[in-house]
Amino acid sequence: MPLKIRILSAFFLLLFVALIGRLFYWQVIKSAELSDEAKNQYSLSQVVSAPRGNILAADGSYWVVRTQSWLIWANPRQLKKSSSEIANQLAPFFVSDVTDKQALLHETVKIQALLDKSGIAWVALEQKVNDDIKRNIEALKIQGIGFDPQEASYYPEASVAAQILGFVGKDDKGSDIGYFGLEGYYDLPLSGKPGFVGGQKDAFGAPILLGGTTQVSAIPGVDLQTNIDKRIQTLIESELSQGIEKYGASGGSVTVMDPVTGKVTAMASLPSFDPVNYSEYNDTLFKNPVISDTFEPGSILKVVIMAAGLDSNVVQPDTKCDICSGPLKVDKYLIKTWNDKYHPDISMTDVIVNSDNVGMSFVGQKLGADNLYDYLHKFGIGVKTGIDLQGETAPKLRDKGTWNVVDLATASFGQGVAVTGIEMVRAVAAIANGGYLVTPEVVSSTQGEGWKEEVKSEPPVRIISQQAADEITQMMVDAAENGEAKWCRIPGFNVAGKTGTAQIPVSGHYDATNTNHSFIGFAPADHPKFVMLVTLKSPTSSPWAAETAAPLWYSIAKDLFPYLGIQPSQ
Amino acid sequence: MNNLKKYILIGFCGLLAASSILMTVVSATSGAEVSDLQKQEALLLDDKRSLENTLVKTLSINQLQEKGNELGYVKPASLVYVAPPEAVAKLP
Repeated sequence: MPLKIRILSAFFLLLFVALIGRLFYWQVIKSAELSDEAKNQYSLSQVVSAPRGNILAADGSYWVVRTQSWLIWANPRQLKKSSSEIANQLAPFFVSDVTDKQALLHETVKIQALLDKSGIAWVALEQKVNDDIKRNIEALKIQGIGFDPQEASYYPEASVAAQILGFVGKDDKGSDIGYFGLEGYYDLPLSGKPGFVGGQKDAFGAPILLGGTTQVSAIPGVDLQTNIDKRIQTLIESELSQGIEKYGASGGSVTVMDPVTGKVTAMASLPSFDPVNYSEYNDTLFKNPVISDTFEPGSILKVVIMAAGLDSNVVQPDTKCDICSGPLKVDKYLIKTWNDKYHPDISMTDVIVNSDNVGMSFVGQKLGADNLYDYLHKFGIGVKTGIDLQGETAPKLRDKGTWNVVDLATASFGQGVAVTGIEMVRAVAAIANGGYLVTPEVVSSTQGEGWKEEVKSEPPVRIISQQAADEITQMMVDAAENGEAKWCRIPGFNVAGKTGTAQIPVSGHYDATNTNHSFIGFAPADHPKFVMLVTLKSPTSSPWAAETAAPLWYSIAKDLFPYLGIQPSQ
Repeated sequence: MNNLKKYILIGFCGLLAASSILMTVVSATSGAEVSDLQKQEALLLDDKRSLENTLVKTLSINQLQEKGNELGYVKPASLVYVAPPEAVAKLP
């Protein structure tokens, strides 16, 4: 064979070996990697997010409605303009007030720092941006800036009912999660379940139907229908705000509940927060004080203790107090009345009307420590009410059998016992409805597309007799008409109520200057449509609840009467 | 006879090939149609959302209150309850 042919053959052989080697490299060694890259190009794999459920008011209108917003991101590698130029263009869209130079500068510096991050291909610039802002930014045609849809919550009533609703934040993986209030308590049903779409797509992104598709539909979160009445909620927030200012209080709460069904129709505390801009507020404002904060109830607890005395037949409305002629010495302490005036042989009705501490100590002594403990427990004091809001606390009562004579005496007039606002509302609701302990409820039903399910509530439990409930109700009516708060009553309306001025325990002793003021009552006394608790923290305008919390209670009640169809009885 | 069988076989294979191509074309077109429909659905959902948002904003109690004030509806300072008139004389 000629040499040329041999060389050519060898050359072709080498080429053939090289080709085989290259094919081996692509087909065997790089096979898995190339296969994955190809799959990424043609496979369609997408998680379909489940829309979060809405929260509705009692009339079916919205408290919270889920809407679409935009996540604005940047790919620093694709930016054509300088980071400072882009930051200056974008910052005005991300601040609430463009005239606030400091906020604008802060935002500009923040955006520039994000854009200047080296070695990254994607950085989030702003979350939950609305359609208008997105359109305006789009019009700037900044290369390297993109938008991804994301869900946001819209609050038609702004910050009204914020502490009932809670807010939607992020968990440690960056997913939406509900915190506090209803968003926290019902996070799972509100969240729904994400779906999935799998299949193949062509070069334009259109699905290839021949390739077969896998589709798991997303299950949307359920809507919550609440018992919260927008008009009552707006009313109490407005009145509470004015009351706090008028009486110089540092804060306050109002709770309105239907005593028969346990439906919470309104609940507000101030100061509060804005659920849209929750991150700008102190964490302590997220808690709902009505269910999370505890306080010594003072005189408003007297109606519960007296109801216990009446139910156990140790006292009657006309029972005379034979130790009420002066201060009562208990161990090394002297128990006095609030105004240091004493009424020998005072009746039990007048003990409530005059809010007599010595008279209440008399009832406590008649009941005995164990009996009093049992009744407090029956009224739900020291026990969580089971309200469907996240963050409820219930300070425990001192253990049964460990109460000494001083504990017994002070608990009789509401000292040395800590309660939450909602515990007190439930306890007094039991008096209002004839003796049944109910469970407070914020949500009445859950609903979705074409279905609705009522929330099953705990059946009411009888804790005192109808007679005892009627007797203590009449005492509360007398207290409202003839007690210290009689000056602010609304003539003609049958209201049962009781004031409470309580000292504030601080590090083992009572604060010498500050007191908490409260008024709890229900109306109409014979067929109550609402029970309402008003509390004010450390008011400065007066040392007595009869001059702060009571007038605020009546001011709200004055608007509730026509709204709830309550007519004057006289 | 053999020729006839051959033509039938070729024709059958041709039909199979043509139908396969046709199916592929139809599927590809359907994919594009599905994609278009998905885009239309997204646009309609956007419109629906926008209308719902407008409705929700309009029904806000704060907005209604502002509108009410603008129209001159003010909350009464106090309510007067009038007792039903009592009959002072009756016909027999």
